[in-house]
Amino acid sequence: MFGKGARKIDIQVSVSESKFKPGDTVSASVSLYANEDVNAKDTTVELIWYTEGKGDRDEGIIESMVIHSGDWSSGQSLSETVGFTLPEGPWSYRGHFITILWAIRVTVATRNIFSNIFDLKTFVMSPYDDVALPNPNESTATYSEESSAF
Amino acid sequence: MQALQPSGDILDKHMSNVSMLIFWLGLVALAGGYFGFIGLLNVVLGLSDVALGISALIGLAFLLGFWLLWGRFTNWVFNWLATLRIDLPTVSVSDNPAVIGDKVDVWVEAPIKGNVNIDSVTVSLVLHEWALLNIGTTTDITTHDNVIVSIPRPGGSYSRGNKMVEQVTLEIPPGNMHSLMTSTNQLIWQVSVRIVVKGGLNLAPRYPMTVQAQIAQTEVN
Repeated sequence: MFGKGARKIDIQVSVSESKFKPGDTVSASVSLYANEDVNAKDTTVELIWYTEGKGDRDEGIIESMVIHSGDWSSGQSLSETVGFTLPEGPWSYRGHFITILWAIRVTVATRNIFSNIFDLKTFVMSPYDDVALPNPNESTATYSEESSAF
Repeated sequence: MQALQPSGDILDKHMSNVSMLIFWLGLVALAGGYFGFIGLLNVVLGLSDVALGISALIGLAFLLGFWLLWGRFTNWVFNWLATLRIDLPTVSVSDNPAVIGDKVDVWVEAPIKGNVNIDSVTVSLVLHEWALLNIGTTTDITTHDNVIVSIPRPGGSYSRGNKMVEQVTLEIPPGNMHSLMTSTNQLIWQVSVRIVVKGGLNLAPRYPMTVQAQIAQTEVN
């Protein structure tokens, strides 16, 4: 969907913890530094979840915050700390074919969507100490199948 | 107590594969027969290019129709054979939607339509992963069954007019995941009932249920 492309703008994202529970507040620190002039629209920080695995990527944007509007000039920098409240789900999950991840994503939207500059920091969002698993005790059998719809 | 609705194939995996094999064999045999016949006509009568083209188009249209109908027909025949002596079970659960940590009571009832010997009945709780991938015009569906818990029960001899009844309790173990339904990635909790019939087709229907993103109160310390 997006391409990191050349680093016209350096983006650093960090979150206060690596694991959160539903309802917690994620505090994220965001720093941007423009290495050159960039024609841009909005620069946003988003709380997102997304899938990885065998299927097409699904993504949910839970909350979005615009931290800068318009172009970036060479040498311009910005530092922000933002907070997002996590919803009840979906929880972070690591299955056989499907993985669900949570992240804070910073995106500098340019005039061309394929040239958008972004970075993200993933974290675990689950009521457990780690991601939810289909076989937490690894004692269960599995069976898988691949097929093509016609 | 809530009744669950069956979803998808009611035959067990091996029999579904046999059904699919018969479907494709039938299709290939028909295509081979038709185009062989046209080829023979061409050799004997010397058909023109136009006649050959029209014959090919008619053949393709016929095969397309056959493809659509034959698939339904083979499915219907196998399902009919599988439920000849034992009907599709009804499944009810104590909690739907359930939450993580719940112990869900499951009742399985199957009316007996003819005298039958059942080898075993296995009730399982499955977290079914379903992922859809679009590549150009092709759609690939990938599935995976995480069998969370499986409870086998011995079968028995049943007479027509009776009911086969089983009751089990399945726990949705802590550490597990809730249901997820998106257009391309799904995590579906299912109650699976596999009935092994002596001298008959096995039944293996699935009954989707919902597990919410919550943990049962008793599991919270």
